[in-house]
Amino acid sequence: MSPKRFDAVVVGAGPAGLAAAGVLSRAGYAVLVVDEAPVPGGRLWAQWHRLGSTVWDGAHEVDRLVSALAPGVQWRLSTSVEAIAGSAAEGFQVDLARGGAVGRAVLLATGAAEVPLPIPGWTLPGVLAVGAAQTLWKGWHIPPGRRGIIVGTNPLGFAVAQELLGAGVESLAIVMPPPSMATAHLGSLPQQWDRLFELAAGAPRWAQPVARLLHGRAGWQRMAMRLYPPGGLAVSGARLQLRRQALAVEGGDCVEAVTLQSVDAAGLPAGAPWTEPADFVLLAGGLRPLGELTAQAGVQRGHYDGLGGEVPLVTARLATSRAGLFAAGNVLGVESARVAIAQGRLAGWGMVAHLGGSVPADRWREAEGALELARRDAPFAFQPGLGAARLRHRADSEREVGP
Amino acid sequence: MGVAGARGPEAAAPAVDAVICRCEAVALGALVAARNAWAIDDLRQLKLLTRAGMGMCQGRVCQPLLESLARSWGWDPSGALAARPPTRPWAMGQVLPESSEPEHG
Amino acid sequence: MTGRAPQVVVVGAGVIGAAVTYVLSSAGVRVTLVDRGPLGGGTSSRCDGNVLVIDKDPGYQAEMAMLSQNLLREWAGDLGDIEYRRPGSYLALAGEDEEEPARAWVDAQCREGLAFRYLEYEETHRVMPDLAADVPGSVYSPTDSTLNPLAYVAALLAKSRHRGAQVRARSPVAEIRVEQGRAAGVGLADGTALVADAVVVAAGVWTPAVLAPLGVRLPIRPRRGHLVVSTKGPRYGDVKVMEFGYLMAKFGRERVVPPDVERFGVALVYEPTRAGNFVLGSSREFAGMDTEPDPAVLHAIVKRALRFYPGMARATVLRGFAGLRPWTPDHVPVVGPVPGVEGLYVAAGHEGDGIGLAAVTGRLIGDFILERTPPLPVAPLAVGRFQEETAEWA
Ligand SMILES: Cc1cc2nc3c(=O)[nH]c(=O)nc-3n(C[C@H](O)[C@H](O)[C@H](O)COP(=O)(O)OP(=O)(O)OC[C@H]3O[C@@H](n4cnc5c(N)ncnc54)[C@H](O)[C@@H]3O)c2cc1C
Ligand SMILES: Cc1cc2nc3c(=O)[nH]c(=O)nc-3n(C[C@H](O)[C@H](O)[C@H](O)COP(=O)(O)OP(=O)(O)OC[C@H]3O[C@@H](n4cnc5c(N)ncnc54)[C@H](O)[C@@H]3O)c2cc1C
Ligand code: FES
Repeated sequence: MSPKRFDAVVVGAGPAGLAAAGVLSRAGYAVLVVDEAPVPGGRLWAQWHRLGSTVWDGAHEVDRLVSALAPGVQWRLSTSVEAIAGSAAEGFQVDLARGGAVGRAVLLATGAAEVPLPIPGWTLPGVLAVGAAQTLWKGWHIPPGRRGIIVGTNPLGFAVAQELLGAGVESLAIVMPPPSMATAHLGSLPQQWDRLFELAAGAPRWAQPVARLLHGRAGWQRMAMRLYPPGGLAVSGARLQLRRQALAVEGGDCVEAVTLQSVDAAGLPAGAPWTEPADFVLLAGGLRPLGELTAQAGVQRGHYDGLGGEVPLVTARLATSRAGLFAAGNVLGVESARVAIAQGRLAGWGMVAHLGGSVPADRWREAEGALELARRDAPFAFQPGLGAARLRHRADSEREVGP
Repeated sequence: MGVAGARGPEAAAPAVDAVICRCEAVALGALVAARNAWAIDDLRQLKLLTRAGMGMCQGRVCQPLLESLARSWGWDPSGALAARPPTRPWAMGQVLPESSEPEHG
Repeated sequence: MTGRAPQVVVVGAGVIGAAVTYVLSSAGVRVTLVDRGPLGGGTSSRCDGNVLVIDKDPGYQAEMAMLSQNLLREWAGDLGDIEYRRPGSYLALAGEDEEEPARAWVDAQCREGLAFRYLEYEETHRVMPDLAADVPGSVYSPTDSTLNPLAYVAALLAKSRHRGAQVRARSPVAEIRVEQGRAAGVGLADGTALVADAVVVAAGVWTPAVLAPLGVRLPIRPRRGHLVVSTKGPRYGDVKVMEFGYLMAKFGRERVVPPDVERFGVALVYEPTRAGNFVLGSSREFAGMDTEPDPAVLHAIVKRALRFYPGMARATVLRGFAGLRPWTPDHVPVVGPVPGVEGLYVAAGHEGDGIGLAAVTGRLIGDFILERTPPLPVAPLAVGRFQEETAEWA
């Protein structure tokens, strides 16, 4: 079995990978796209938002990206990449379940994963991660249930709540997760409130009631929490109950109820717990860049909370510390799908240049401009401190791997 | 509500029965107990002795939780759960010559 | 530092250093065990847990392994749950050409008083129904046992601590201090000095590096081995099975196998684990200090396993890992005093048997330090036996 050789192997057929494959294939290079899912598109399939007066429809974006590929692009779908070995000089061996492939350049575009919230009972059927619920609904039109509780105040949870309330879900409350040593990364409840307020400051519709609570004034968080209505605030039809935490999910074979408890304005438990019936629970623990392959491939990385975790350091053209290995999309930090597309294009051109092709100056300008624009227009930040983290990542990258 | 009341006993007890590693069914309590029993002070050792992070998903789900736990105990988790190839399970039969497939077109 | 000096410093918290510490602290000796990394983070957490006699050369090596098995049986009661079991082990034959040597092997072991048996075709396939139909027979050793190596190390350390031993992780030893021809303690990389009457170096493949500054040269080299772990699912029998060819690879004898199996020194080891997975091994190669698993080696291991267990084609590989066996030229460990430096001892070079031989090694070092009579001759283990090879390696 001698592995087939390609100019470029793209790992991950989400928006970032597809955009890069488009650039590379149209520039005449032999490209292999590998994805462990049976269809290309990655997380795009689950996305549908209103963006001002327009609509962002992920399925439509998949069509657009796939039809922009030049003929001759090779596919390996339902195929996981297990490891990447070798170097640009001898060719990277991309180890695939069922045989391998060799690429002179490789793009790592494997996206992000959800972080669970381990409250007792979270492994019961009927408890889902918010992203999984989003996929079930958008991809398969299966609503998770009728009466639900979202645990955690991650922005993705708000976005999904909004989608589900239009989808047969009758009641939905958003509550805080209980403090746990295993979720120390979330911080204390007051820290989580502060982050929420920070995100709400420049935020879309869902956050406006929260933002109003602050009257646009810094330092109001503590006061706002003291005044926070016990029954919660209505946010796009869901009840946002910041002064409640979920202690456990209850049920025999599936979710039947959630044990809740009030907390005081300092985030400490107040009063006896009680249970509320629910037929589904969504965990909004946040997203993190999927780091297995970047770690395994041995590229230099750094930890940035604002980007969601451990990410490779890259040049402005998205080259990692290992010549010929590039990264784009959510592996570089959790941002919107449009950002992923723009990064994919930029990495695509970076790979063209690495393969010896010439890249006209206006191409770079165009790609870099599109990235900037996508960031400016992002519907929401997935993590607070994104901007600052991006700057630190840029500075560290410049120092460690070059401009 | 809204006034700090007496804390119920449930509030004081940490959620020791919360499962941290789903694949290997390891609860927070088991991790704490293992750490105390063996005087573990390192995430890799905790993983190998409790199997947390060693399940079918290769820690994809529980890794951030284990790392958070490690940090809360003052351990440096970096590299402890380092990805080792293969990053995904593969069928043993694929090493047989007959199973080499033609490339998809 | 406290006023009273610890009496013995042990360098290296792998299975060997842990066993030495356990024996000494159980005898009331004050011990400080230091490791440069996390406890058990070296080869002892990148290996399998077989405690074997079946593959030892008849005579001295088999006797040493048997002693260790018996000691371990005594220790197991004290150590708590280390997944210790005594299921025996089997060597499956790859072809009829191995029948002669296998029968001769059994005869030689029986002459030495070990209870080995040759199993004919029917019995082999009754005990191991998943084996390929063309496996002509097998060898059985009833006393072989198995355990979880990291739990073993952790339990040895927990008991030692209980008996007063100090255990320090992340404390690299920078030098062994010698005063007037006597070991006087060790200096740690952070400048701390630990004073001692005796120092035991049990640093596995790093032992030569620890001793080199003293001008002591040992031909211990890293012989890398890979293991493959399956997902939970169907298993292929409840007994541990190796191939007879394992011995051939181990002692560099002739063997007819596919090129990658040959190149990576792969021989079948099949071991069902308590957690519900199974482990496949293993390879033997000299590849430096790199423990990053090589997919080509993992593939060769699986290929070899399928030769014996065709049904495994439907099983799934979960992960692979690699460790560095501390190899010696004569396949016998180095256990004993360093000539010319009183109070300095080496316990290293156990290659693929450190888990199994840890108990007897701990016992021997205890006997040296406490001046007790060792349970077997120690000349074959002597530090000084490599004069010629050392000249070559140096
Ligand atoms: C749960 C969730 C919900 C999100 N919701 C939104 C949203 O509503 N709006 C928004 O703008 N952004 C959202 N995002 C961010 C979103 O991920 C990005 O917008 C965008 O999809 C990222 O594109 P990508 O190409 O980097 O990764 P993805 O779209 O995630 O694509 C990665 C691809 O890589 C494949 N892959 C991963 N590992 C391997 C491997 N080892 N071998 C082979 N293939 C592999 C995956 O199957 C996947 O198809 C969400 C992210 C997540 C995780
Ligand atoms: C794939 C594989 C399978 C195996 N299967 C088996 C089996 O089934 N049965 C069996 O009996 N054996 C098996 N072995 C062999 C066994 O693992 C080894 O013989 C044994 O682990 C060696 O133990 P050790 O204590 O000598 O070395 P290690 O466990 O490597 O310990 C040495 C320690 O010394 C420390 N150290 C190094 N330098 C310094 C310094 N300067 N200062 C302080 N500390 C230092 C290291 O950090 C390390 O922790 C296998 C090995 C491999 C690779
Ligand atoms: S959840 Fe821990 S290994 Fe899968």
